[in-house]
Amino acid sequence: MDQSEISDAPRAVTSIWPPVVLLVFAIAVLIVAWGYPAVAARFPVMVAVAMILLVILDIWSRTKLPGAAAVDAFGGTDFRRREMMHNPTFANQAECVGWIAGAFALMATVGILAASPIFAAAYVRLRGKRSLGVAALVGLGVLAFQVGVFEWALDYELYRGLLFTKGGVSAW
Amino acid sequence: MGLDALLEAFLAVLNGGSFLYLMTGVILGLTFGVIPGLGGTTALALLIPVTYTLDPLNAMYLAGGVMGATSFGGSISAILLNTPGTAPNAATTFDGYPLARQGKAGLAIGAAATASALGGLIGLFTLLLFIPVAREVVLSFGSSEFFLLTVLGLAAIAVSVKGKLLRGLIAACIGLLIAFTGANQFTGDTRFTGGIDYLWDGIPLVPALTGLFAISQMIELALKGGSVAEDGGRGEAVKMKITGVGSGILSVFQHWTVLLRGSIIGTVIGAVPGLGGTVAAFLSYSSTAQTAKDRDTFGTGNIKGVIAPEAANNAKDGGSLIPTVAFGIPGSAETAIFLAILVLHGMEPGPTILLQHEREVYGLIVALTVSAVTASIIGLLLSRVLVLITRIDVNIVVPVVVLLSLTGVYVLEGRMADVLLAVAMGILGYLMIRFDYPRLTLVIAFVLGETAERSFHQIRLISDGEVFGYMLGRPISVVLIVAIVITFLLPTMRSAMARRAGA
Repeated sequence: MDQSEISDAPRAVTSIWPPVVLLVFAIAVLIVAWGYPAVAARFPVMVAVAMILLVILDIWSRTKLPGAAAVDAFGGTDFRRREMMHNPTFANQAECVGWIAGAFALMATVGILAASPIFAAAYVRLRGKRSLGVAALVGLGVLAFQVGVFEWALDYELYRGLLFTKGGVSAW
Repeated sequence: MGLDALLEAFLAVLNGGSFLYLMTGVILGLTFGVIPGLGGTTALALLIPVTYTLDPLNAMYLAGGVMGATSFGGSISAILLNTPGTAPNAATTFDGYPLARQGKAGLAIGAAATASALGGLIGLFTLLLFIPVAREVVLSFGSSEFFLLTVLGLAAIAVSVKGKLLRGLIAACIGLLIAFTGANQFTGDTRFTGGIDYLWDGIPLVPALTGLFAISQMIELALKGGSVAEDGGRGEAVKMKITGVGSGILSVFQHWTVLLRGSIIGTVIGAVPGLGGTVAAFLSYSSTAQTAKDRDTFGTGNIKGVIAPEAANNAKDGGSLIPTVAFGIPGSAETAIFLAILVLHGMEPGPTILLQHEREVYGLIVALTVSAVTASIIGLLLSRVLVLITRIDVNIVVPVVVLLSLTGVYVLEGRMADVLLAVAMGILGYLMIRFDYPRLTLVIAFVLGETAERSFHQIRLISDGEVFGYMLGRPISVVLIVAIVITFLLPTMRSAMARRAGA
């Protein structure tokens, strides 16, 4: 691989750590699968072993060890066509994932209908830094769609949330 | 059965009431297709109770309208948002989205609309020619062929993810392992459930796909900021030129061989159970990319990269009817839900359905074709408005898409656990985007995993453990093995030849 191609991609992406994590995962899967009855274990074991071999090749291709270029020529560890060309900070990534997790937490707690306008408006206002009016408009728009399409047109009762539903998490 | 039944179905669809159902299906299909993460599966699932009160033929028109229109609807969001509305549209993102970012969204949408419509028509005609021999062909496929087809599908997709073969195969392994979660269909043993009852039936397809495509894409989009259509390097909003729609239509006729090949691939692959639109779209894309003279421009905004998958995606609808209707074997989640609608209306899928419900079956074929054409026309008419989607601030797009996607996931089964799964898959999908592991190979492996495992176990039983020897004794299997080897070696051989030529 051309070194300039590697340098264009963030170090976090090209480093050996992503495949190392996958290697640990594949080994764990192999250990678990090994404990299943023979027929049930056969395919997962085969796939886990194949994955371990592929991940080792992936790690190898990211090093400067002899043969790494040959591995790249066959298997391709090209980072030129990355889907994500920007390089956000860890804090920013954690914040975005947190927003998505927050959407689920809100839906689960107060229900989908109540959560939708709250989440939409909060996101537009707090993360998008848009005016209160725009935030309210988006929130109300989402609510109108949810009520109009799901509750009225399709006569479907959306989840009302742990606070207002019997059965708790076991009802999920 | 034949031309008379087809003509009757065409005339029936012109009836005011039936046409209304068909158009309702088309509008629903377009709407659900455009909204990332919803797609035809959700739309059909939501329609199941609605069709209960309808005449079977009208139910076919409604369902056919949805199925025929979602593929084009999905291509709109694939082109404009880089988020496929349905899984098969993922192949369209490779060149459709780069075109949109270059300000050529109109060109891409025009080409996608025309390729979808013509692909649907070619698929129908191919299907009509194929019907007399279809049964024999599908029946000649045994477990060996099914297994090898799944491997071929995976290989073709891993290779088509250019420059990422190794990481594509690793992602495929993860997809297979996800597919193995739950009770083993062969022995009943539960695997990788961690004692969670929800996982006993395996990882459900729709929440997983919604997470992997819609949610993960929204995380990536949120991190990027700005508006959807931006020049990545400068961060400036690109002015969308919508005057290119006519050129997009014309480009399909200029590249008619791409259209024809995509349509034929779509029809044939659609007829093979378990493969479906995603494999068809990707095979069509990869075969076009690999044989094109300008293959280096694929992935950067080559219009042929839009035409090929879109033609295959719509053409597959006709082919997918063969195993679904005639054998009761659904080729995808969408056709699985469609099977439920058939059963709800007293049409038991199987070889006799073509004799007992000829009217409904041909009605469905017509509905799929008409809906593919009308959806494209409506899409083209609305393209000027649809292009505006890409100018919306991502901070508005993200919460709306996230909420609608998660709600759609909930509505499908009424389980919050599905919503949680979609979120988890979304995070996994984002990590794959971040670390450049292709999501598509994971998804295809996930979809095909069950078929692959079942077929493999069947081969072992039939062959008494001599799997490879058994495969080599079957001519179709040998052809498939050769195809797999060629698929894996072709990119390496090509790059070696290129290096030799350059030396």
